Amino acid sequence: MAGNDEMKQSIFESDTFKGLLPFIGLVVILGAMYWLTDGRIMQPKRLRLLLSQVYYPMIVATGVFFVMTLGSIDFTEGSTLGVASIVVSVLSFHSIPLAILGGILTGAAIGAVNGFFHVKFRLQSFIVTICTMYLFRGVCAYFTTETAIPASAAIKALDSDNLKIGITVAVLVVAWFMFRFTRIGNDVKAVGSGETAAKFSGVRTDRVKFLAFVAAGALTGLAAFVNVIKVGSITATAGNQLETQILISLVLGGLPITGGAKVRFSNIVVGTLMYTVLNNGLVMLGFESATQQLIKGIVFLIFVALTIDRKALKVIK
Amino acid sequence: MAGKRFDVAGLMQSKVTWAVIAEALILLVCFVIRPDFFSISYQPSTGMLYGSLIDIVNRSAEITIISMGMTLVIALGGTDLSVGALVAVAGAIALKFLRWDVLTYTTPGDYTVYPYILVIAVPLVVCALMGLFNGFLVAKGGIQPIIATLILMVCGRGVAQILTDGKQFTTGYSPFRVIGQGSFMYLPMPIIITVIVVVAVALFTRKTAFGAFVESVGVNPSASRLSGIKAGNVILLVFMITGLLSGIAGLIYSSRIMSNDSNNAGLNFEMDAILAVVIGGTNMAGGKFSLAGTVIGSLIIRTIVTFVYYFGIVAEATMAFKALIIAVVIVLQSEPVRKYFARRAAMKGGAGA
Amino acid sequence: MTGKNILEMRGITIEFPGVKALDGVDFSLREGEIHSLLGENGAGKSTLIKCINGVNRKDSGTILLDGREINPSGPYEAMTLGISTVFQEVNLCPNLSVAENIFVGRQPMKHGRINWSEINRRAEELMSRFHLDIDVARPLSYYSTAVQQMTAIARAVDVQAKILILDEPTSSLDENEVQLLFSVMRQLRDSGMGIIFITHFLDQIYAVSDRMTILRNGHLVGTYNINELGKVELVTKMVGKDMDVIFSLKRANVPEDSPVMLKAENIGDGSRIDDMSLTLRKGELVGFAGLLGSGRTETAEMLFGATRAVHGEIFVDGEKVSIRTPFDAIQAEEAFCPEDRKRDGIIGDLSIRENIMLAVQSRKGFMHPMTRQEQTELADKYIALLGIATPDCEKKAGELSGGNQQKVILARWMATSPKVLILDEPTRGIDIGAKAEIQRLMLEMCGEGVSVIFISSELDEIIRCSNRIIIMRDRAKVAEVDGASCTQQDILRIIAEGAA
Repeated sequence: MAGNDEMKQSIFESDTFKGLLPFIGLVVILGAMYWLTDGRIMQPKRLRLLLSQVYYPMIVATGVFFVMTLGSIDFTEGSTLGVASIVVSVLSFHSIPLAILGGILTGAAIGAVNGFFHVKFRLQSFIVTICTMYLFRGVCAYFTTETAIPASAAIKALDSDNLKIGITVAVLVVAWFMFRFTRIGNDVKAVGSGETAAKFSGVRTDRVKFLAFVAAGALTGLAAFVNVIKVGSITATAGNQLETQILISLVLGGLPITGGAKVRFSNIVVGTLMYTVLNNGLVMLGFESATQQLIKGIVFLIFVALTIDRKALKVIK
Repeated sequence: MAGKRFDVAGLMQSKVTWAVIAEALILLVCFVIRPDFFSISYQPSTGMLYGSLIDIVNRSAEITIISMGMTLVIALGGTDLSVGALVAVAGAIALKFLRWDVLTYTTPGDYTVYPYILVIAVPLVVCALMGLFNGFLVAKGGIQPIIATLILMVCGRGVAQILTDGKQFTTGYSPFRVIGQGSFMYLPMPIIITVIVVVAVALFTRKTAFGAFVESVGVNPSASRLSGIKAGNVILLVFMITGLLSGIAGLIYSSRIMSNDSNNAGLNFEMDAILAVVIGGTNMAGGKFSLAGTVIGSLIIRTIVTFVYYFGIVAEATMAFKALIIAVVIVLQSEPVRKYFARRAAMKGGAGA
Repeated sequence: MTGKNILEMRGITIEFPGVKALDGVDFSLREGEIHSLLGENGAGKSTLIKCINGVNRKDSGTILLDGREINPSGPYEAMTLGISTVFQEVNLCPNLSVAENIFVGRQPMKHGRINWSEINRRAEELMSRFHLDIDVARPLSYYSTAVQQMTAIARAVDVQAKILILDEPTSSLDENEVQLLFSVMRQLRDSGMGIIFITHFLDQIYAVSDRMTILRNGHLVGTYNINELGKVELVTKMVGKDMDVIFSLKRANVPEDSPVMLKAENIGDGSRIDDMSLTLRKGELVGFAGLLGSGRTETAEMLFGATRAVHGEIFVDGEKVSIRTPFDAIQAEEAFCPEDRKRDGIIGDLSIRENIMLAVQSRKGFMHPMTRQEQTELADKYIALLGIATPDCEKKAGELSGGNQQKVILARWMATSPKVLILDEPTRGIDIGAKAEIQRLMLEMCGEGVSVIFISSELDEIIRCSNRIIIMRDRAKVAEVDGASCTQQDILRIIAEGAA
């Protein structure tokens, strides 16, 4: 019964307001944390720690952003990160460039598996990626249960903020350019807005979907490299629950779960920052992990309630 | 002749057929490797039947029970990610009532601090209310089910931990042990509970018009509303049922271990339940659902796990192995593959005629 | 006008499992002509055009484009060959901007990146050709269905097409917009394009086409020049039998003392409609005339509780009723066939049986289920009564043709034996045979004492059936006229100028 609803839309329901809401949310959460921690969260040391937790989720979120713009969903980030981290660690004893390449290719291969089954067998991405999540979690567990897998000293020596910031910014800039100014980026958006329409307009929808999953995997593989230089060795819990974290971050950032044209590139940055600030602030405030979970859940609830697009109640493909 | 040919093609089109074939194949492999896989023996000391098959059905109880609710949620076109967390919540509340204050009741034993009825009823009521909360967010808040239930998925385990002060209680109260470890008519109690739940849900959906309403809302909410169905109430009820069933599963789970485990109880149950429903032939997009299919789906998942344990495949690889077999089943059920086989079957039938 | 053939199709046969959708059909299209393709639903029109643009694969026959054989594998390849299609269901992305929609899949590039200013400029230029001065950067869903339709056509026209296929482009347009579309079509024809035009509106065929081809049950009936065939002959050829029945419908006979069945006083939804009042007597048929967006649908939705009336009162059969949801309306023995059959009416994945029993069942509540046998009996009764073309009641409703789907929805409501039946565009997009049957059913129900509100964009059918006609304009009632004594011109004048 969607008629011409524009006229009775209040300011709180306008698209502009909704677009701004994630930014407002970020400022509010940052302000609240600043106030609650007496400004400690802004100390350079703290800030560095906070940022160090932003890099790899942000890179992963950038890849997943493309998948979710399609209106699909990807649950494999955590296990992909685990497997790719193992590959990076093992190869790091041979050569660093090889390790980076290995990580990216591993991720891309997992993404390709997801994309292939999603596209060729017309299976929902939700189901495909639950299966591959289990599969690669199992692979990861198999290699790491007895002992953690160490990375070479050479790769750990690379750990510097400049490098990590550099990689993250480079990924964001390239992805932004692709999203805004290339045909593939626009095709992703078109498929998310209306698959049949896009197909009839000459968009090769299957290829676009496949590539989005490959991109998500490849970027997760690159994030694995950033993860390895930070943590140094890979245990069975590498990347645990990362998929939930990314999903929450992107939704906090204002990304509609149905994808399509209403996604904004800023969703990635704002969402990831918001999640990390909230997470760090709660730790600094000394809450137990149980209480942290509860508070996170409530913040998430408030946010979803404010940003939800009531018109777009569709199923995830 | 034409009728028969059509039937073969139709059967090949049905996802439930493929689920049954898959389960039969897995069991066949088990039988070929270890012919004693099917043997069932009577153990007089416990008054129960023993055997791999019994074990599979017994151990699948939690997922089967939850996936009865999940089937309805998915038929509505949604998903419920919070069921695993609710399993933890139910266990936490039950153990809280059994032990209440560990400083006073220092050793676990065959006692309960609060009346047994509360130990059972309160977790179920709380879980049903949490399900209702999910339903409220979806039906009245207009939030996508996957997002709405993500909230309780994130903070449900936190709630469970806060309830028990982050502690893990154990108990020795024997009436509580009956739920997960007792027996009735030679069968483990979880099997009995599962049968009751499955029959109850089947009767409720198929002997009333509720199932038809769920399917109708799942396919086209707007048209259903205009036909007079109170779509919001249907959604509320379905999520509440799913919450309640998660609570039952939570009681069984904690009775098996006679303890609460807020971190691991019900871990990944939501994924298993969703897979069981999908293997059982219910489409994620909503609409027609098959409870029988879901039961088979749940059994397939458990059979694979039992298979892995039974044949001593390294424990760490269990998850990967399970995923692999489920993936094969799901690919076999996918539309392109089913169409391919249906076409082949139709052609063969035609050639034979 | 008599250019050479740009498209020639010979002996096209397409088989679907169990049916021959097209059987050896020949079709040709000349340069610079508008060629109407006619036939009832299921006659094979859609299949034929889907064969031209590669959505359906043909089993035999040849397609020649400018004398060369082509075999397009899909709409995109067809587009590169110069065959552009505007599909029946507007196939656009509602959340993308108008400009993005026009250029999706073929964005102009500059220095390896998408040239957004060029896209917006060209989109504006194109839309201004349709006399539409709109902000092309706004999302498509912001605009009316008419603008969306124009966007789809603009997109199709912009690809330098030799052949333009328009499948039911006018079903959601009002009269002015149709005229606008026709002028664009003529302009394109004069520039040498061949246009294939599909519509259910007979008047429009005569208004704009040069030739027409008629299909029936997958067979070619013939191709004629437009002045060769009169309306009645045309309909007879389409349906394959004499269709006097359409032109011999009699409006319901309402006795003077017939009681008031539905009364609405000053109802309004707080935003779109304010202070609407109407009465409806037992066995009376009241037509709602007016342009799209004039408030016809909004009023109907309020009467049925699909949107809530925030003020005013509704009486059914003399009793005041509170109608907040459709459920309340059904309890008050109202029934409502919504305008958008696909979105709000049919439940595609469920069987005909389930679709028909739904309203009866929801009135009873789910705790009082109908048995399977009762459902089947109910469904079979209405399948027979309404002549729904289906092998049995277990077929999925979504697989039926538009006319049959409409009958299923009608059956759903007839099964509740309503006192008041509200029909919003029940005849839109369905073929002439089914249209006539639905009108006949409507009038039969009036004869049995049901009061009917009939909303339609087609004035001739409103005039033919209504006892009284309420004319709406700018979301308010402007006049009520007697159905027996008014003419199309009277109504058009009131719609255009307001009440005298």
